[in-house]
Amino acid sequence: MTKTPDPWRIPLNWFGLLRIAPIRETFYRQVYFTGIQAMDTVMMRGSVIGTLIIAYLIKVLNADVAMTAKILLLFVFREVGPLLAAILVIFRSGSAITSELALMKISGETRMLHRLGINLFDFLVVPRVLGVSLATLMLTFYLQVIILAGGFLFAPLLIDTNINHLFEAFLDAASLADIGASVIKGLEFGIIISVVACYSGLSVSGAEPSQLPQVVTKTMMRAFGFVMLFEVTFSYIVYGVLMFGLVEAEH
Amino acid sequence: MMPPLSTADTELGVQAMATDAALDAIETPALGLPSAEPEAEQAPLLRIRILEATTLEGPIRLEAGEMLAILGLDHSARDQLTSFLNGDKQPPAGHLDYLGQDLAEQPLFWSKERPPEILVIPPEGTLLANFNAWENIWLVVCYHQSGQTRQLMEEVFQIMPQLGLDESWPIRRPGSLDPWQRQAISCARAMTLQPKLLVLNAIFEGANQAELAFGRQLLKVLSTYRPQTAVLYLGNHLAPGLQIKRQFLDS
Repeated sequence: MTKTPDPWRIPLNWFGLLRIAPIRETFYRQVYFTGIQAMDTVMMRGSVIGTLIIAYLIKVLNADVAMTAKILLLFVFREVGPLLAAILVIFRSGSAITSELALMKISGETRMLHRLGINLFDFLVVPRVLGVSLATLMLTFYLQVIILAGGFLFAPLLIDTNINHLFEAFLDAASLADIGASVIKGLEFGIIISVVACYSGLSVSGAEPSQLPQVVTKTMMRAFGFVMLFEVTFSYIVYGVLMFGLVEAEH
Repeated sequence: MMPPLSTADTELGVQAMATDAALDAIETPALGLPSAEPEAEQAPLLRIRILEATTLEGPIRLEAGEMLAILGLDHSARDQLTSFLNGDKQPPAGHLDYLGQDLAEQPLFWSKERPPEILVIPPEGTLLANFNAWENIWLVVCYHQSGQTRQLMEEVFQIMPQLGLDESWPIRRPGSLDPWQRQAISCARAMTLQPKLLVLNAIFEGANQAELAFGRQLLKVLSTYRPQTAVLYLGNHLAPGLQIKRQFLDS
C-alpha cells in the first residue's frame, strides 16, 4: 500500500513516484520556479555575457569566420552555456531549496511528515532533484540559444562576414555529440545542485533559524565546487580522452 | 512489566462536569459552530484521569473508540510520552495498553509498511507552510493511496464547517489561520489516515472559552466520524484552567 522508500532504489523508479499527485505537483512547481521563471531574467544577462565574451575573443584572437565559429561552438556552446546555467540555478534555486528544507526541518514540518507516514526522500528530494535537473537542462539550451544568437548578431560587426556565412561555418563545425554533451552536462549539473541543496537543507541540526545564512552560503559554495569538478572531469574525459585520443590529452 | 500506578489518580465521570449552558450560548456563535445539543441528550465523551505526579508511572488502558484525558503532565513529561507514542524511545516507566496490547511492545503501530496507526497532534498543528490547507490534507490522502481519496476528501469538506471553518479554508495558507483552525485542519488530516489512536497533545492549552467550543465540537466530530479511533488528550494540571477545560471535557 504505502510506498516505502528505499533511498537507493534505482533513479528510474523515481519517475514512478510522479504518479502520486502531490509529488507530481511539487515537481511541476520546481520546474516552473527553476526553469520557466528564470528565463526572463536569464535572457538579458545571457545575451550580454555571451556577446561580450564573443567580442573579446574575436578581438584578442584576431579571428576570422572559421575561428569565430569555433569559438562559438567550443567555448560558448560547450562550456559557457551549461556553466552559466548551472551558476544561475545555484544562485536562484539551490539557495531557495536549501533554505526551504532547512526551515521545514527547523519548524518541525519534516518531523510531522515522517509521523504521517510520508517518506521525506519521496516527497521532498525526488521531485526537487527531477525538477531541477529538467529545468537546468532547459535553461542550458535556452542560454546556449540566447548566447549564440547574440554572437551571430554581434560578430558580423567585428569581422568581415554575414550571419548566414557564420551560421554555416558553425553548423559545419558542430556535431550531434555537442548536443549530447550539453544534455549530459545540463542534467548532471541539475542533479549535483539539487542533491547538494537537499542534503544541506535536511542536514540542519537543532532549531536555530540563525543557522540558515551559513547553511545557504555553504551549499552554494559546495554546489559550485562540485559543478566545477564535474565540468573539469567531463571535459577531460570527453573532449580530451575520447574525442582526441589519450595521447593528445596527455600533452 | 512496570509497577502499578503509584500516584493517586482519579477518574472523574464526565457527568460530574456539568455544562454551563449560558457559556454555550455565548461561545458557540463566536466561531460559527453548530448549536450545542440539549445538555441532557449529550453522551459523555471523555474519561478524565488526573495524575498528581507529572510523569507517567503506571499503566493507562484504552479501548477502541474511548476518549481519555490525562491531565497533570508538565511539558517535559508530555514530550516524553509523545516520544514514546511516536516510537522514538521506550518509556522510562509506565505503559500504554491499547486493546490489551502494550504499545511499547507493538512496533506495528509505527510501521514503515503502512500509514501510522498512532498520530500525535502537536499544539501548533504543524501544517506545511508552503501548501494551503486543502493541499496539506490532500497530500496525505494521495500519498497513502487508500483507494478512498474522493470519499475521504468529501468527508473532510463535511467536517470542516462542523469545526467552525468557513468556506475559504481550502485556499488559506497555514500562516493566515488561527491556531485552533490549524489544529482543526491537522486533526482532519490525521482522521483521513483512520488511525487507531489519536493523541491530542495539549492542543487546547491556552484556549479561550470561545475556542473551547471548537474543542468540544472536535470531540463530537471524532466520535461521529471515527467511532473506532481512541482519543488521548494530554494536558496540564486542571488548576489554572478548570473553568475553561470543563467546557469541553463535560460534553
